[in-house]
Amino acid sequence: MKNILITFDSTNYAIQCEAVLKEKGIKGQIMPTPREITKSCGISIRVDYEEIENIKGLINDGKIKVKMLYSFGEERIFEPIL
Amino acid sequence: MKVVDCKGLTCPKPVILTKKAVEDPDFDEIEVIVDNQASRENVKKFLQSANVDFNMEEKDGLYHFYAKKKGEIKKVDEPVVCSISNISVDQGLTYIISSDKLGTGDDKLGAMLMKSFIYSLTEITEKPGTVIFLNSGVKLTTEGSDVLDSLKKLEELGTEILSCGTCLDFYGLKEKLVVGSVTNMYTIVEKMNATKTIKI
Repeated sequence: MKNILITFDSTNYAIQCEAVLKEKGIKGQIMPTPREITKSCGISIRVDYEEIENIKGLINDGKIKVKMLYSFGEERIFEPIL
Repeated sequence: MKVVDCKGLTCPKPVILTKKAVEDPDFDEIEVIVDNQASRENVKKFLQSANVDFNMEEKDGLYHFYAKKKGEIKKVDEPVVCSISNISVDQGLTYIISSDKLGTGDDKLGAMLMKSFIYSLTEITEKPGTVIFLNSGVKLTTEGSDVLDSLKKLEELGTEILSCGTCLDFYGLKEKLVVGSVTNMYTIVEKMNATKTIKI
């Protein structure tokens, strides 16, 4: 199963993004930012890869502010999505 | 279609049987049935590395793999790692979660930290034997909680999930429990005395 990992510049943006996803009916799973990506105690949100266009749309519309998007599967290799 | 029935078998048996069936020169199409998550993951991993086409369906707690030859079968010679079986559930460890937020301070932050915490429990290899939810903590095990998926996964992997009955009653959530079972204070105290307890 392919997923998207959304990372943020601040925890407040993560909280905001969670609320926006909920409002749009997109299932988002709060998770700690993997150690492969940051050593600090960051919060990320995992969503199904199918939502990629919706997520990009929310970013373009300025509804959510993200730091990076990564794709990853069960093998937990995080590839930045440009 | 040949059926490889692995009900009741634990890792590495299902993978060994699947491997045998797939490497059989007559292999074309098989169905593999397993009944636990560890075997499901291992069979899946094996089929992927063996270059076999497959899909998986879950039916009544059983996992059915429908595998089909798509070309040259890759010989997978590395030993079967019972990866999910590496997960250990420490029966001598209890977590008490006494709030639906983690830590004191901002509630929004606390709620988010709790989600992150519970999600991470599903990924770490050493899991607590029991997690007890008290006071507003019971909002996490009941309808409307955002961590139900994680808690269900944890329970499936062997952790006992208990919610305080008095607390469910107080919050009007008695009929809304989704994961785990109801417990009372005697059981909670006994668990605390008998195991290493960490209050979250």
